[in-house]
Amino acid sequence: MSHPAELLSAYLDGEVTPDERRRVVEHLARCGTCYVDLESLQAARAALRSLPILDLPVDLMPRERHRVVPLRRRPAVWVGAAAAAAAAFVALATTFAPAPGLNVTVNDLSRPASARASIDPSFSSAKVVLPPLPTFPEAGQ
Amino acid sequence: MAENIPLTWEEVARNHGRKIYNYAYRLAGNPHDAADLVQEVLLRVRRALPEYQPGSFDGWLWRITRNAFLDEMRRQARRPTVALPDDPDRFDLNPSPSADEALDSFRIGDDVQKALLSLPLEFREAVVMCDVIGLSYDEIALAAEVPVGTVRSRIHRGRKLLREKLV
Repeated sequence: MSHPAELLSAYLDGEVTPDERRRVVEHLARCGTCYVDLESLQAARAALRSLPILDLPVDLMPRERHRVVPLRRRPAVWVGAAAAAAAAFVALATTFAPAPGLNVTVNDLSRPASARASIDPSFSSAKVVLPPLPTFPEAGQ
Repeated sequence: MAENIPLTWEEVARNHGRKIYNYAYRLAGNPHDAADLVQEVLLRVRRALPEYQPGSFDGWLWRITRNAFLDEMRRQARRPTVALPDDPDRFDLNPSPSADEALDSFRIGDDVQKALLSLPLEFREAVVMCDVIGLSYDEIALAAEVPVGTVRSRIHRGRKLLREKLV
């Protein structure tokens, strides 16, 4: 008589096929040795299941998710500030605009004069003569 | 049917952290290693979640957990703890245990836990996954990457050995 030893644990756990289950049941009905083994396995399983289930330590629990603000430039603010500065400049320039025909010396700091001169030989690097401002009719005229 | 899987590692921690901790605690036998393992598993889950392919989430998670545990075992084997030489001028040879240590030893001193720790790892792991965590044989096979027949055999032999040690 062959003993279905390794099937006994699976039988306890309901992890056998219907055929295996029938075989185990029939065998247990006539084999005292396997019946004692089954009780022994059941006791071991009960001992393992009796182990207390421990709580996860609090410091391992994920905290509530905080809203993370990424560290990045905020272009909208700078664009707004630049626009405001530009508007202020335009207002000042308009207020203190020179009289038509007045020569104003403006140093071009954006690039060396020689560089521009190489592109446009007629360009005078010493002075920039602004064109006269257009004249607007007075209000009500 | 669509599989209902956690979307974030925080959800994995909330829904599965306790099981992972118990698995680790029963295999390692102490709360410190168990806590370390939970952290490592959650880290691996966080990295791997974006590439998770729908399938058996439990099998995927327990495979990660098991691999993390085995890696830790290998790491400890490579770096065995070497006892410091006794220096009576510096160390108390019979220090009284702290409250935490006393509590730990009380927990670890549990007969079943002791017997469990004496089992070969593959048997210990199989019975813990089955009887403590409650995984099915198929899930254990998937996690341990062995055939279901091997799982059957390991659980059977693990329980049998445990019973012998408890008697």
